Amino acid sequence: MLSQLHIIPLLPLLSAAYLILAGRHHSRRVVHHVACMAVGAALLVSADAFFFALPALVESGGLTDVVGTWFASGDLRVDLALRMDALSGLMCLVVTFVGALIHIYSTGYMAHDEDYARFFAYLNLFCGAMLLLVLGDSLPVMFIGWEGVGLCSYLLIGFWYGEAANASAGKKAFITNRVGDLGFLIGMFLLFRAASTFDIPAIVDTARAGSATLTATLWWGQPVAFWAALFLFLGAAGKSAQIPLYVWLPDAMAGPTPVSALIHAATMVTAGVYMVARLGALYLLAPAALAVVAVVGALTALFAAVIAFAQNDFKKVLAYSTISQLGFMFVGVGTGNFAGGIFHLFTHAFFKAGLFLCAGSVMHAMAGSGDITRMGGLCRKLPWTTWVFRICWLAICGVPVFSGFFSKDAIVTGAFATEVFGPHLGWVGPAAGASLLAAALGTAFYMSRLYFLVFTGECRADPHTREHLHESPIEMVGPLLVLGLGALLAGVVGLPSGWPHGDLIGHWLAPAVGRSLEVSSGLEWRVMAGSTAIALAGIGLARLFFGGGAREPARRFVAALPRLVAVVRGKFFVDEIYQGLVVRPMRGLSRLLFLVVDRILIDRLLVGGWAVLVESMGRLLRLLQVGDVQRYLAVFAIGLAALVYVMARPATPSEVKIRVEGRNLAVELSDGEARPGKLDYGFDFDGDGREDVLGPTPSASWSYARPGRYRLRVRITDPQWNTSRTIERSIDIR
Amino acid sequence: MNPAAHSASLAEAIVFAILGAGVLAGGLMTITRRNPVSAVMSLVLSFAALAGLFATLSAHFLAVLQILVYAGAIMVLFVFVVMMVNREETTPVARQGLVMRAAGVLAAGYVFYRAAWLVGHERTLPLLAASATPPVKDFGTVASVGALLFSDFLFPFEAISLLLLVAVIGAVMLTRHFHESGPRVS
Amino acid sequence: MPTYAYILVSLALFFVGTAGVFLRRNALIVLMSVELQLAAGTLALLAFSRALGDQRGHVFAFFVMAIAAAEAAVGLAVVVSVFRTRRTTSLDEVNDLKG
Repeated sequence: MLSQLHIIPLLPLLSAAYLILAGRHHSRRVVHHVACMAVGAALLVSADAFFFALPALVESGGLTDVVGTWFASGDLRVDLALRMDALSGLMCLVVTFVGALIHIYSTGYMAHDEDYARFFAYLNLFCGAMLLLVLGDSLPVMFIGWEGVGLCSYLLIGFWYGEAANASAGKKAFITNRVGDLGFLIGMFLLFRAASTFDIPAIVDTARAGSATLTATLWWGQPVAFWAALFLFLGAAGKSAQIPLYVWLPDAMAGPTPVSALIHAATMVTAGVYMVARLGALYLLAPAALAVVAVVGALTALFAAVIAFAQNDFKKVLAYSTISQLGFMFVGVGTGNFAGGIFHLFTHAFFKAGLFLCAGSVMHAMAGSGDITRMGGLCRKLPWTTWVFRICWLAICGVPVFSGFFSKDAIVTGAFATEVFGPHLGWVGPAAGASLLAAALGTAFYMSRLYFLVFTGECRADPHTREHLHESPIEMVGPLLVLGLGALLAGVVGLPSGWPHGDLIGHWLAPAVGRSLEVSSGLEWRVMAGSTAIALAGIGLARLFFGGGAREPARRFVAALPRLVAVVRGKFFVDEIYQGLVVRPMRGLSRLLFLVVDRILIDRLLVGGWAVLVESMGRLLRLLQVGDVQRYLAVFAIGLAALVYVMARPATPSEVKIRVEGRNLAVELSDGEARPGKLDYGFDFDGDGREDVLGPTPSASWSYARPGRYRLRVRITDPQWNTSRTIERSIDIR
Repeated sequence: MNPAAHSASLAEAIVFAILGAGVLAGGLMTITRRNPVSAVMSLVLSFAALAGLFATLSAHFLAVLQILVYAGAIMVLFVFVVMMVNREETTPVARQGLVMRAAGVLAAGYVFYRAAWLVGHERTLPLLAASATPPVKDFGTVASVGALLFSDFLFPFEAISLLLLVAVIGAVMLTRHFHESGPRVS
Repeated sequence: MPTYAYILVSLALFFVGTAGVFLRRNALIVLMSVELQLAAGTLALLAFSRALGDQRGHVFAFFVMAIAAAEAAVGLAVVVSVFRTRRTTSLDEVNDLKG
């Protein structure tokens, strides 16, 4: 069972298939049992492999499983191969663990939904695809999972497709992802061209060896490795919601909250980070690409944090928070600190999923509303939720001891201390680090705002809702508690390397992503102190504005700087810009194509044209149908006569040999026929119309009296039919 | 060719000429008469002469059959129908598409001209030159043809009788009157 | 008489029949022209039969005659039938398949 890695993605996929086909005929109990057991079993198998089989093999590349050959063409062969090494094993655990928790949560959250089976089917499908993505050993297999999670994202965001807005959100997610996917494909093909393989370990080895195919200059003076890495990062930016392809994530909050927790917090959006870490050796070969990753990550982290200041929907705040935190992760991998980025991915999975599930819990209590302006004082009615939220809140703010503190610091420290950039790009590390500190301040601020406005102070909801505020059932609170515990304790795997049991995750991941950087403890402590101060400052600032649920100070601020606030509230109008720059021209083009190509060219010309052609041919041919049998027979006779004429003529001679010697001429015809000697030949040499030589021989000669140009005519007669044929030649006599 | 038969050939030739002329003249008249009755009579003449030609070919059985069946039965049938349908035409030749038809006739003529030339050119071939009395003594008699009909060609013979039955039924069916009170044979 | 003479007569007769089929307007005359063509064919059959000394030509001619009789009967029945409905034997006016 251990080497049967394919069971891990297979179980959820089979469950999904079954639920899609037959789910709606079963009771809810059966449905959620099947679904949860599928993911649970995947978790058990993953854990079994991870803890028992993997450690022995982790140095040599981990567990592998080849299911079969997907396709082979010429020298190329792509197998359906899975690999669990240090990195993919960790991801596998995260996906199955958080996935299982959210499945259990969903049994409570979606309990009153009609499409219960469909939801779990899609959720299982997602898990299967994500596992395929994580475990895939070659880029095409990973791409199957990549596309699969994109599909499931679309299906689940638009789960309540009855509302047009939800369907649009799903479309937006899918299409934006598609743009990124194009980048992924181009990068994949560039790598194939350089490394002649799609297998990830082979590519990584080629990169580690610094192969010339990868370092050769391609475009604009940059090597192949740079462009491949860049295009792949475009794919990552799409999937992981970085600038410029992040716009789908806030809209994706239209989906059910468990979806947001699983897909848009813990797993799918982290696929980009995972991919960069997996192909880390390639990125190390092109520091410029790493710089792009780091810069984009830093900018996104800051940008999204600012937007989150002005959001009034619980889930939207969390969405922008996710975008921002993903930026942190990309700074991590973008500064060569792959272990750091993955560490933050790990802790983020716990506290962000926890935050989202808390949101779900709150919205469940608020009868589906997520408007924080109408919340407040919920700590009294939702105690468990409030406690888990507090833990996750402090974790994300980076307050010491909580998990987020250690992972954020790992990244910031790694950014300042990085050595992957050369002299030209040396500024990238510290700049990214500084941006992240600013973003951390922002994070602390907006998350604390969220906390104060929702859980403290007086409740601002209407009386009816206030009466129905209640804590969530156990199937929702249970996973919450587990995640809260994780958010509290997960930091333990990434303690600073100087400490006892330090950098466990770094050591574990080393066979896959390389060794962690040695950082001076002085820098470590400085960063820790600084980030703690920043976290507390952010919380304090938020308390000033929103402490106890107050909204007056914020209102005064808004009044003081109306235009700035409008821009932030409008999310910097990025959606509007895209609408004008991309969507409208596309729509216009498509309309143009419709009117010109489809309506005119195809419908009128090609289709209608054929009809007109057929009709006119019909009309023409109808003229032949005179209805008069005698005329038909006459035509028959005419045809017969033509046939007889052609068949009865003597054949053209295959060769006409003319020999001129002075004034003497000799002509010889060779008869290709099988019937020699049955024809008469009449030769007219002098062009007078009378035949000078007659006879059955196909040759004759003549002496010309005078030089000049003569017309030689030979008449071949078939006496049997009394038909003849005339051959003419021009003769020059000198 | 049997030189001994040469002397009798003059009488033969005259007979042939008369009969042949009769056949062709009858045929020409058939196709040129305006009055259908005249046409029928001309055809009878043509068939009679043809029967004579058959006799000169030692096809005695068929000569008699020609008179009995063709000139007798078939032409009588034609006479009856002509009587029923007698209507003199204003123009004998069809008006529509005359050009096409004339062209067709000319084309047919061309074909026959070529065929005739071939026959004429190759008339010395044994096949085309033979005019001797045939090898078998009772060539073309009722007995010998009948013997063939009832031995080798029994099946077609029976089939022909079936065909004639079908034709009779067909003719009856085609000419029935259909009225309210049910079909009547006219 | 040599066979070729009969053949030539047969050709001529067939041509006469063909001309009648192509040119005449009256359906009955056309039928009679067809009979001429059949007769021409019978003549050629019998001429070759004598030349080859093979009586099977006679048998064949017998069948031709029988078929000609059947065909004449049915053809005339058709003409009669058409005449009844349309009061015409002119082939010009029986062109429903036109167009």
